[in-house]
Amino acid sequence: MTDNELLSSFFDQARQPVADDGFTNRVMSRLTASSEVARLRRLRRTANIVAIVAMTALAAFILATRPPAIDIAAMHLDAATLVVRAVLLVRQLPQMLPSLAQCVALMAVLAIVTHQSLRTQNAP
Amino acid sequence: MNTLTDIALTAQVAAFGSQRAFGLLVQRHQEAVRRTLLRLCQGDAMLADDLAQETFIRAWQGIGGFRQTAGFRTWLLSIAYRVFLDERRRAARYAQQPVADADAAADAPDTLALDIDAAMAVLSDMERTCVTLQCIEGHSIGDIERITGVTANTVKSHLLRGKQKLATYLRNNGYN
Repeated sequence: MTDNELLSSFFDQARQPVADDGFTNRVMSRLTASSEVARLRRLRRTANIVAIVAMTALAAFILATRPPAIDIAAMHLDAATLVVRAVLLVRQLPQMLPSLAQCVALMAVLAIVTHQSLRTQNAP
Repeated sequence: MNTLTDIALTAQVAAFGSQRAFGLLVQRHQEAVRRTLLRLCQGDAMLADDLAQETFIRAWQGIGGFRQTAGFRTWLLSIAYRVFLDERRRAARYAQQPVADADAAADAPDTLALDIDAAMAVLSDMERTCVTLQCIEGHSIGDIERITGVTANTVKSHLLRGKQKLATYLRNNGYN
C-alpha cells in the first residue's frame, strides 16, 4: 500500500460527521446578545457626542452673550482653571444629561436664545 | 455545497441583517468549521466549539468583508484559522502537548478519535492545518492558501512533510 493509499484509507475512516446538537441555537443566542450590546454602545456614544456638542454650544452662548453673572465669576479665574473646569464638566455631562431628547431640546433652546441675543446686540 | 444559495443568504445578511438567513448558513457550515477546529485543537471538543462559536460571531460582524472571490466556507475557515491563532497566542498550551493523556483517553468516544489526534500530534501546527484542510475537509491548494494566508508552495511543502510523517507514524503503529 502506498503512502497516499494508506493516508486516504486512514482519513476516510476518520472523517466523522459532527451533529449540530444545539450548536446553531447557541450561536444565534450569543449573536442576539452581542447585537443588543453593540446597539446600546452606539446609543451611549451618540448621547455622549450630543452632550459634548450641547456643552460646546452652551459655552459659545456664554461667550457670545456674556451674562453679567458669568463675567463677575470669570474675573476670579485664570484661563487654565477655566479650561480644566470646562473639561471636567464635559466629562460629567453624560451622567448629568442621560436623555438624548433632553440634549436635543437643550441645543434647540440654546440656538434660539443665542440667535435672539445676537439679534438684540446687533440691532441699531 | 449549493454555492448560489450561500451567496443569496450572505446577501440577505449583509443587506438586511437577516438572522434567519445567517442561521441557515450556520447550520450548513457548522460541521466543517467544528471538525476543522477539533483537529487543530488536537481533540479538545469544548475548546473547538468555543472557537467555532467565536468564528460565526466574527463572520456575522464582518459579513460585509465577504468578497465572493472564494466560497463562503473558505472565507469562514479563514476566520476560524485566525480565531485559532488568536487562541494560541493567548494560551500556549497547544505547544508540544501530548494528546493521548489519561483524561483525553477517558473522554474519547472510541479509539478512532484517539488515533487520529495521536497521529496528528506528530505534525507541526502548519502541517496539521494543511493536512486537515486537504485530507479531511477536501480543500484545494488554492483554498488552503486563502484560508491560511501562506503561499501555495509553502502549503505544498507542509503537505508533503506532513503526509510523510503521518504515513511513517501509521506504519510504525501497525495501521495498514
